[in-house]
Amino acid sequence: MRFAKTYKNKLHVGITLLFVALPFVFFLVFSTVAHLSFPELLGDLVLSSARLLLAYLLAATIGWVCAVLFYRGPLATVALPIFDVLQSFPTFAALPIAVLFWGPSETTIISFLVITIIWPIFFSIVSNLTMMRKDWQEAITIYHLRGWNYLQYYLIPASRAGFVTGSIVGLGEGWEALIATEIIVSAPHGLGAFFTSVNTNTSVTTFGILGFLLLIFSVNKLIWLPLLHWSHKHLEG
Amino acid sequence: MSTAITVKNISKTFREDDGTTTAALRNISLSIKTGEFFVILGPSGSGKSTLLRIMSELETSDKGSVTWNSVHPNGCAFVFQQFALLPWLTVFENVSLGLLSMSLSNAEITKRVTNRLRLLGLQKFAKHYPRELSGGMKQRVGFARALVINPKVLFLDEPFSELDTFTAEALRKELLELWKKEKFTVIMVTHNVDEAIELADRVTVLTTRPGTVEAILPIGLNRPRSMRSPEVFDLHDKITNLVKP
Ligand SMILES: Nc1ncnc2c1ncn2[C@@H]1O[C@H](COP(=O)(O)OP(=O)(O)OP(=O)(O)O)[C@@H](O)[C@H]1O
Ligand SMILES: [Mg+2]
Repeated sequence: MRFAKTYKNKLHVGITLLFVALPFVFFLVFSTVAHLSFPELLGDLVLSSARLLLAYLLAATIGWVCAVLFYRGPLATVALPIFDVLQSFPTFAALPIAVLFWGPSETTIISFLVITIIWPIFFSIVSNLTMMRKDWQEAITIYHLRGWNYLQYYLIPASRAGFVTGSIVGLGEGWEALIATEIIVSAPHGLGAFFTSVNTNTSVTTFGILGFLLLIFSVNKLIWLPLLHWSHKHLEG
Repeated sequence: MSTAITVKNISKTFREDDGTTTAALRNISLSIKTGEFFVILGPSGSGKSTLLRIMSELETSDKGSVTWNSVHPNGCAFVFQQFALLPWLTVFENVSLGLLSMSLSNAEITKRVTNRLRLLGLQKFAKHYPRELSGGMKQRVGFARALVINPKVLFLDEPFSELDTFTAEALRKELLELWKKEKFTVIMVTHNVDEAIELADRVTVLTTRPGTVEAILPIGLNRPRSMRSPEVFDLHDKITNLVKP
């Protein structure tokens, strides 16, 4: 039933499966033609994706909690300008400091990614929540929605659209920052390592980037665009 | 008749960040009787909404006091001009909002919501989202959400002004029926003189900026009221003369 609702017809299912398979087929063909090891390439991809996913989950959680704590009230007037300054701080400048503390480790990569991804998520949720209609909030007050009910019936759904938009922007910046970080700290495995190892071969680098873009495109098409559509639909009065 | 709410010397001035001030209300005193249908009438900017929001504790006043006598402010409900339905909740969930803080069982909540939806002709729309409803249906949900908590006091801020005349007319009739049967106190804001005459036990007319009480008039007509009687025309003229935009 739900399946039938999500997918309009067989063609739709087919196209969806194509989007899932396409990047992997591409990498398979690519690795064969370029005489690279497909498992190794896939391993690099999975490792980098896992780093990004972990960093994203951390950033999303911290970003959401901070946003709902600070988006309004007396805290907001102090906190938001501070966050604004922090956000404009060039994150790559923090990288040497992080390396100093943790060396070229997973902690460095992940924490660096977190501070990159968190800002779009945080600010997107804040602007989303401050745009909520005043009479919605008055209804919440009149009908004494508190605690878990307040979360479930108001805060979570009200912040959904901002969360999704911020996630898309954050992950977009995150991919970039991930590969750059992996290259800068010379992480032994991951996409950064892959691109470093092939950087003398222009065509392999080009096709590598192409395959990588294909993967991002597929993920956006399959996951983020439907979520974006869904989250906005639920904001229409 | 006992007094439900006493409003004493309420004043309110809004201050913007750029330093400009708007005197919205000055020295408002009213006393609302238990069970009466009280209407606050005034032109745009006379502070009607501000007064209603101060009475319902959504807003604080600068001076003066609001005293709840026979009832507790928790037992009040509010119907909004633009419905204020949460767009991500179904009709059923929207109507259940006021019951969630009451520590009722799920079965009890379902029973009360279902019953209220039926009384307002909404039973077929329980699973719909607000965006799928017409304006009239949305305001029915607004009324259902307010009445499901069996409020002692019902605040209405221009609840019919976004609806077409036919829908508004029908909904006013239903509101009167429910008011007669369930005996809650109504405090309604409107800028529509006929609406005030059709519904009110008493009407207070506010002046603009700052809002002050110009007059309080009892509407001593029997219900149901024919809006084409000579008494209604007289009242209409009398009230219209009091309203100064
Ligand atoms: N939150 C606010 N901040 C600043 N000024 C406000 C605020 N709320 C109301 N006002 C001002 O107070 C005055 C009264 O507003 P209010 O909304 O109570 O009037 P009203 O009689 O309900 O008008 P309408 O018929 O247009 O709804 C207006 O001049 C309005 O601009
Ligand atoms: Mg108003």
